[in-house]
Amino acid sequence: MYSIMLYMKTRVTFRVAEDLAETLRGLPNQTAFVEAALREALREKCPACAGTGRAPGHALRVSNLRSASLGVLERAAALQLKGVVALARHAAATDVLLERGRSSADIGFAVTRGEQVLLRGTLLSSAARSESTWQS
Amino acid sequence: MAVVITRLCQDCVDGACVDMCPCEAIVEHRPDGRASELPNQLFVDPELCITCNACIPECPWEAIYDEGDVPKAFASDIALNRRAFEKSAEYHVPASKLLRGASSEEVEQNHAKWLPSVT
Repeated sequence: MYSIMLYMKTRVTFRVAEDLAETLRGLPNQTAFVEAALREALREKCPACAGTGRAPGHALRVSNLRSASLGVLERAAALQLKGVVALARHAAATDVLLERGRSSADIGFAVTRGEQVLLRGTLLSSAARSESTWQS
Repeated sequence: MAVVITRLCQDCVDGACVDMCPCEAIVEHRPDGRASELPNQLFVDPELCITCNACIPECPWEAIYDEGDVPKAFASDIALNRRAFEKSAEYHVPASKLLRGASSEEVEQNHAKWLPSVT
């Protein structure tokens, strides 16, 4: 049964690195394994472009400080936010959300891509660097 | 409501505010294929401005105001800044930034230069 199904498939040849070729040769079910791996990879859409092949440009939204009643940004915090915004653009994030931090002078931020939170942290009012934690 | 760069920036175009802006909201008018018909100054794209006001103290020429605080004499500059959003394709973050600062005397002279001419 298996051999008949195998003949119904189309042969595809491709080149891979020597070490990967050796690993594949050692597999008892090469065709099934490669087919499953390809299907799995194709099912996952690229998170940056949602499978369109084109990442959206200038789609990043950053909270307006006045609308969020966060007051004026201190110089140090503004420079930290500049870095966060640049990082968010590189990560094809959709939003940088700002909110009041733990201390009244600090501003918390969350870099998100749709519903997914990529990074959370705090813009410290007087410190040189922001505290942040990557979300896995 | 956003921040507004007034005509006090004209021909000074110090890039300190550009360096400070977290959102690349401070731009210059650089249309493709033709020279700009606008004054030689920087503008704030109100769509990108998050009203953090971090740029205001950075300007050595004291040319940047919160929209609500723009002096009446410079009120028409608000529309000039809004144009940066309406025709955003013609505006770009300055490629090279001139950071030269200004003495208090120069700032005073610059204010005097613009204020009497406004009716």
